[in-house]
Amino acid sequence: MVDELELLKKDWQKQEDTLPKYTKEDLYPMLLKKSSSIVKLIFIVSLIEFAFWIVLSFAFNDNETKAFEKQFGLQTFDTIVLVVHLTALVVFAVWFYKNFKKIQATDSAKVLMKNIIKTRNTVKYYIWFSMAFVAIASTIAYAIMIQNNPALADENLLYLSLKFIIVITIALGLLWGLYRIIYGLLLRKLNRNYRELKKLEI
Amino acid sequence: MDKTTEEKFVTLLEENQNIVHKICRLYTNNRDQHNDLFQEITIQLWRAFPKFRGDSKFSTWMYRVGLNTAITLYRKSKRTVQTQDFDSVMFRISSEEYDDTVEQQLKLMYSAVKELNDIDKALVFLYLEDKNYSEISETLGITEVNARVKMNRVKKKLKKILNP
Repeated sequence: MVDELELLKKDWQKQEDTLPKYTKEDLYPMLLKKSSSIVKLIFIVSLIEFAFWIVLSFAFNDNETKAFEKQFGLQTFDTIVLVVHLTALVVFAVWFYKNFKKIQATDSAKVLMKNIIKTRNTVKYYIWFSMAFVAIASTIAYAIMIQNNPALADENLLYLSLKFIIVITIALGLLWGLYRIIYGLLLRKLNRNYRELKKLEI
Repeated sequence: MDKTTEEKFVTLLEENQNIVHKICRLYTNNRDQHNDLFQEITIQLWRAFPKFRGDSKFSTWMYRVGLNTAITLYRKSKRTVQTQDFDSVMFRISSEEYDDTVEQQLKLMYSAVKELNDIDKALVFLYLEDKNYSEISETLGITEVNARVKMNRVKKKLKKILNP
């Protein structure tokens, strides 16, 4: 086998003449083109995800929602929710940016992959945080609503609660599924190769 | 970046472009993808160039950025059928040098290398480029011992592909 590989090596090193040759004139325009690398795509997708949650935070800030909050005594609670969420967003965004800056094509393959995965993970943690936050905040809001409006509870507490749990579970399930797809598509090749390198350590 | 830096970079790239072409040959299946990957590697090299301090050879540095782009950063933009390149990679076999059996053997070897996963391909590529284990381990980010062990496994894998 070694002999065959040596034969291949000899042959490999003779290919120079058959390779394409670019002139300087061909190369200059290439420097101006934009990268279409996975890192760029991850950056864009992450920004969209951050933007999605920001828009969502403000989408329910209209008059109708305000009237609803007032009716059910949720004003203070909703302000707390907004502040906590925006603070978390800033923390995660800074963390994400710091990791993003660490990505260098000049690192070893393993360090490069690790840094990309770490960067991507900051967004993943943010999304998990957001989903958990939505679930907890909705539950507390629901409890406040019931407490402030005993009439609601009189109707049929069990039925109402069940409806609430089902809606929240479906919404979170859909989000989780969507992120699994985004992750799968974005990081499939990278994860596969990273696993290959990690296997070598065992 | 100023004109002089640009000129210096393009001159170095022109002189060493074979390295990039060889990576492209190994990791792509047709001319379009080849050009695509060459373009992406060029961008990554150009971006990283300010950090190139000349303490290593430009070519050594190119192997690292080039392979990183092929293994990690590059996204194939077009769906394509497995085609040529490695037929044309049967580079320069002249009948005086090799007989039919050798040519057949080489053809099998090249298609076997093509079937390897991205990491194993990188290992074989560096081996074919006559890099020592220390360079291989640094480029991939694994220990030298692991690089050797892995190379032996790849050899076995190739043997299995060639003699199922």
